[in-house]
Amino acid sequence: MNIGSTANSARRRRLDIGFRILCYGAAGIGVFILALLLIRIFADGLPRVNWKFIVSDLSSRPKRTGIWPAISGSLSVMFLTALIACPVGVAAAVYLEEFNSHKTRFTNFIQLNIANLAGVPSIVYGLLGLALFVRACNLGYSVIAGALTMSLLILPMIIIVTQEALRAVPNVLREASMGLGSTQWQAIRYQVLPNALPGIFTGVILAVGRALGETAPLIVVGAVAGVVGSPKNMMDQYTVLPMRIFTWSTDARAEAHQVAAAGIVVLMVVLLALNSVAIFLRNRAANR
Amino acid sequence: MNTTLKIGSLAIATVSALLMAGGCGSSSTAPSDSTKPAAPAAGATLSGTVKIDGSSTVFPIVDAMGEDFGKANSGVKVVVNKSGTGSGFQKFIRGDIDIATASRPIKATEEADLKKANIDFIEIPVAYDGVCVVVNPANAAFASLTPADLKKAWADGSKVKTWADWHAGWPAEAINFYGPTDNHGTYEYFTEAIDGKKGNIRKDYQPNQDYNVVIQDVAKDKNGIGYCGLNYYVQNKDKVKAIAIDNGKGPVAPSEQTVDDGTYAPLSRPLFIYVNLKAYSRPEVKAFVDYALGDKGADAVKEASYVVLPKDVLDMVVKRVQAGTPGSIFDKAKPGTPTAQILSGAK
Repeated sequence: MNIGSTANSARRRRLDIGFRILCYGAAGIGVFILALLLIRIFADGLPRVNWKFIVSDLSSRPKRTGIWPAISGSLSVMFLTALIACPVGVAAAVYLEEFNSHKTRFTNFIQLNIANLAGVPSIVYGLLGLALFVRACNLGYSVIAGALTMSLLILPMIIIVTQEALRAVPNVLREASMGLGSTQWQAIRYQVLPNALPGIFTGVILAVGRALGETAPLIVVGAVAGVVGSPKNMMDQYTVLPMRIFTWSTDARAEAHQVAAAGIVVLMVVLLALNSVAIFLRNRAANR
Repeated sequence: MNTTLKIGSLAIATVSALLMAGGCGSSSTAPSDSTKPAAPAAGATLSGTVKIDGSSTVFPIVDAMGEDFGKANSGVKVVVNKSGTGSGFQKFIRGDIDIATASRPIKATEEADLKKANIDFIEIPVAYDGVCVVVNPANAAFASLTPADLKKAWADGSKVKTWADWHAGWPAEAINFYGPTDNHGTYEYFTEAIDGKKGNIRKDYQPNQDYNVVIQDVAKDKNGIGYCGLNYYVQNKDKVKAIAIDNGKGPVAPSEQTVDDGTYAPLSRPLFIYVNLKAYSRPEVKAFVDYALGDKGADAVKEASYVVLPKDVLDMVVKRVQAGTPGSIFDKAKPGTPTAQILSGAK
């Protein structure tokens, strides 16, 4: 091939520019749609968002409703979900990565299932939660039943991300640690996990963030659509932000649609806050 | 157990009823136990939870009632959900909820299931609603339709593809049909009212879970036609046009007035709450039902842009409720039959 030919070189350059434009375009579509959505939502919702809106109780009248019970409901469910899903998810990943040196057919089977579970529609988890936690365990339509259902939903995600993080820890750390006489537990506890922590944090927060915006499974396991107070304990009735947004957006009254937009603004701020905390924690863990 | 009940000595039925009440109502019995020492004077302060689920059409009414009632009685929690009329009845049959809301009368199959579960209920109309047929404001081809017209275009297997197919002289442009999905009571009411058979509707219409989307679809499509509840039309009068219905006595446009006096027929309908009779014996549930049928309840109905029951109808309803008369009288009534006639015929 004649590499020095100017015609060929110009052709390659054109191709390069074309490819670059294509990539910019692909990235641009995502940003453009997000911007469009944000502009519309903020234009509709921002005038409605103020301190009083955030701390007030819910009302069926869109004009005087607040959103606090939905915020506290969402945070309660997410806190419990993370509390349940993180230890189980991380432990499962540690088993699959660290204690599973000769992969048996059984663990391959588990691995395959986890990968598949991550793709199961969320409503299916809702139905499972309804049968298992709400009815069989007799937890009713409570915060804990919702949190357990959400834990199942994000468990596969946490396991997969944690596995990735563990895989990224160089093997020399394990070998050196055990070479100095530590047990496998000590190697994992003092070398592997601390090094994998930033990755695990990122994964957990992404998973919790996804669960925060999830409505379908919680509708099934009984998040309340109507006016309800903040949950007082784990067995109490509750509502969540996406549920309220859904209720307001299907209302006939135009003011309700404005409140729905305001609810979306609040949900996005909560998500952003959650992500910032995660980034902060990750950086701190990474710097040590 | 079924056969035992069928052979049915009254004693066995009563015992099993008591067992069921004790078994599944753990959350409902607990509060009344705990209030016993605290509130010796009966009825002084109410406590407990009233669980309500069902129609998304009735939801705005009952949600407002629940909110106000909860404020007036701080010990009582009213939990209102809206999983749809059909799903609401499923939960009602399971004994999960105290009150089912419905935008259509209960079905025979649902009554049979309730009987099997040994649950008696009181049927209470709480408001009127009109089902509005809406078109794009730019559509000037017609201003009224008869029920027969509606059947010709909407029924399953309809040959109507364009406006001209529907009526000679109308534009030869394809019609787009919009409406709610089949879990809405409005869907069942509309299909039964125009065709005599529930759920009988052309297969190529565009169903949506959310009425706001139905409105938007019609508002953007000059060849669109759809149907929705009166409140959605009232809130969107600037976006869509309602078609008057000619039921043999000249065209009548849907409005609070015509729905209230029953002239907007056959698409006017009562909205219901179904109360578990056993739950009704709990003071907080009874108080809520009284509240719903009182002046404050009527305010909630108006606020949600529905139509309040006329005085004479309300009196008959209250009488039935106070007598605790169980069972349905609307289940077999033809859509469009005046409510007063159904109620007075039931004595």
